[in-house]
Amino acid sequence: MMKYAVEFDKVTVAYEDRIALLDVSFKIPCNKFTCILGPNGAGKTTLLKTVLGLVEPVTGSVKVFGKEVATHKSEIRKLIGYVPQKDVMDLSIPVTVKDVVSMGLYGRYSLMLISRRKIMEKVSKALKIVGLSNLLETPFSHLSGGQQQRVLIARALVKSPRMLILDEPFSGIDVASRDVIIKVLKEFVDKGGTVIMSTHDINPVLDYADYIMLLNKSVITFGPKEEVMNEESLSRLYGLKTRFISLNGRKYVFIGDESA
Amino acid sequence: MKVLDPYLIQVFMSAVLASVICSIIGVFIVLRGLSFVGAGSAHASLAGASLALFLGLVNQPLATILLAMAFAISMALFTAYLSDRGVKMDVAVGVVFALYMALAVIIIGMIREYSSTVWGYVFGDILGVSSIELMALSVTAIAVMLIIGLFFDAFKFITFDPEGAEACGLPYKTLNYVMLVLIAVVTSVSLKCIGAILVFTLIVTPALSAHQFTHKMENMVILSVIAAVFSSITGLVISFVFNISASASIVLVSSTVCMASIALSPKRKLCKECLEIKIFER
Repeated sequence: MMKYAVEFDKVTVAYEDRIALLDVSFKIPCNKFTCILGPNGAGKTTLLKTVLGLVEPVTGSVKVFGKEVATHKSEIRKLIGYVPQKDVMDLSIPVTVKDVVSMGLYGRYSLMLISRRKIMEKVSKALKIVGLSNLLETPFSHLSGGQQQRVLIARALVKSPRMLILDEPFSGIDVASRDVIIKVLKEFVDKGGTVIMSTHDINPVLDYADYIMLLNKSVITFGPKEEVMNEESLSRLYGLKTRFISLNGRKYVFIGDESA
Repeated sequence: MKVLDPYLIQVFMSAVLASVICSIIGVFIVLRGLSFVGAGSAHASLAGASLALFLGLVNQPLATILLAMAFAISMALFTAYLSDRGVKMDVAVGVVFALYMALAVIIIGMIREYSSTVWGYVFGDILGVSSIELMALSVTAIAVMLIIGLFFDAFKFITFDPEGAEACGLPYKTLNYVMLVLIAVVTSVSLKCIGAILVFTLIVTPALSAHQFTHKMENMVILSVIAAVFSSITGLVISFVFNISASASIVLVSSTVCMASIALSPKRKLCKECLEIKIFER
């Protein structure tokens, strides 16, 4: 059985003259829920794109499920369900929920080779997982932000991937949708999948994440949640005071709040 | 003039075929914000067609089309090359557009004869479309429908979410190049019918009209074709009745349809369904 889902070895990524990631090394284990935490511009999105081969490192090596991304890009992409940031999509494009979810099948299968009935079966199953079966023919632009995010997760799930990569899935969504998403991701991990998610707000997943990476161009610290999540590490990440508090049996992090 | 006059049928067929290919490709141009590429491509075609006239190929429509196509394709590829290297698409088109337009101006300035033929390429000369040009339109229409039909889902994906499409394993760059070449081919073969300046309108307005009435891209293509064919036939009939420029008449009808569509668009009214979903979400 594969031990690591993603391995970075001394990876540096740059956009023209701007360094986005500097000498990054880590190994994300399979079948775990990993959260990447960092301030804006910390390189979280770049890191996720590097895993997918959308961005090529200047130096270093990236492996996904033991295979070099540089040489096995198309093979690796079939194993990953990707949920990009919602705001990169143009909502004026006339597509329905069914259209968006079936897009997830394009890479894995040639759509011309599978029957419409088979596509519909897979799409309906994925939508059922995220609790939106009744919105199959609804225009994507008519959905709320939370529903749109759930549809994009259904699109990632439709090809039965081994790993899900999510870029800021909680930004601009309601609490109800956020809870549904967390439940879906947890179930995916319980069934043997791997989840890597970037977020700037750790509180919603504090109870569910197995591993945490604190990133700010370089890895500040990475490891099991219990070892990483402490006030000292978070203060180093944000350059601000942080405090943990417990409320109704749940832990919360407050960053930069002197009065907390 | 007889209604079933072969010449008249050829004119109507040219108008219909040009409007079909322009309106299909126009859907992707409008949705991806590539309108400026369509305009640049049309002007590059003009430079190519002018060069053909300068070289004395006035009686060789196929050679003229191929030269126009070569210029338009080179313009599209040059634009994509600049865009791939980090130059914004609109800026890249701006640079290349001006370059080809300058070439067209220089070449047209050097043409001593056939000035009316040149104006035919600038403003369109649908009544002067030859059988070879009609053949080129037919072949292009078949090719465009085949390529768009086969790869419709892929084009839909890269239009909606280019990054997600690439992450799914779709060859985004290749599909992007194919789309740009299709735009170049469509504008160059439509040049004689509609003209370099007006062809751009026939690409954009039917698609924009269609966009006002549907939330499905498949329906948008169908509605765009209907709007374009209606505009071209109505425009031609008006031009015959009032003895005015056919291409200008087609474009006037198409623009009117577009403005009426925007005014009557149900999308601009408060969507009850949206409101219900949003209230439910809260």
